[in-house]
Amino acid sequence: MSPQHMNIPLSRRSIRTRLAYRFLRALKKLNRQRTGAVTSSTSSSIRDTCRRYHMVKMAAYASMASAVGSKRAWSRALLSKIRNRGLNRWLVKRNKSRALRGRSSSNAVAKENPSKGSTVGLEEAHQELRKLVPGGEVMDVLSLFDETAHYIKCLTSQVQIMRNIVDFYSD
Amino acid sequence: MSSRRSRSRHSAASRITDDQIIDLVSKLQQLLPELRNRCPDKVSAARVLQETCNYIRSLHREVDDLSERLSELLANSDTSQAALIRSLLSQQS
Repeated sequence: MSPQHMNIPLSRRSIRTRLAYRFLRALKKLNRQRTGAVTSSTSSSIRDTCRRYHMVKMAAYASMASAVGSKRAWSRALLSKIRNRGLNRWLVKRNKSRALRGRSSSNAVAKENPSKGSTVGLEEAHQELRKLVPGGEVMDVLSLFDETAHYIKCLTSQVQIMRNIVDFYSD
Repeated sequence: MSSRRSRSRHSAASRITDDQIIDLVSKLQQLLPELRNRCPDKVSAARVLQETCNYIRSLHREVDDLSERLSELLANSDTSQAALIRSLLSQQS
């Protein structure tokens, strides 16, 4: 990596660098809040752990969405969810549909009609995708696929960054 | 046939061609770790969509797991943040 890399304005740096900066800034803020607070007694430590986990997760999605900005429909949808404090609701709803799928998929396999299997699978997968991608419910099919591709790219970068941080801390 | 005709009754700008859909589906296929080495003709769109859903779900799960580990590490570690940022940036290619 050349030393000139650091003089490029933030907006023109690669998406990975922007994601990394935003997430690290968010973590730094979280860490400052933690060290600023009075150390809690053991009785509230479980609550603190849950709260910390939740805040790190929110920071991950928030920093990812703000690094992309308003250029993409999915990031706009995420940012508006954050502003309306609906991010938590979306995360919970998304996890619930994940849990339900696990239970119902075993029944579906038994009843599946092989001749109709492909079209039913396509429509189902289509609806499922709309629930998974933020803002997916109101998009047309083409935009949905396009946004999904970008969302996957950013998610994989975000996961890579978080893995790097965890590895660094674990050394 | 009739469905394609009814779609063309909407404005020309929103007419969806099969080619556009095929392009986007193959673009998605390239991003999926399980399917990217397969020939695009041999993988059905339904399979690509299903694998996309599974992949996004697994990525969400990873974010959750990594958030959990990170929050634990944040609580227990005193590592200097400047060193953390420096090491992370040196890994960015």
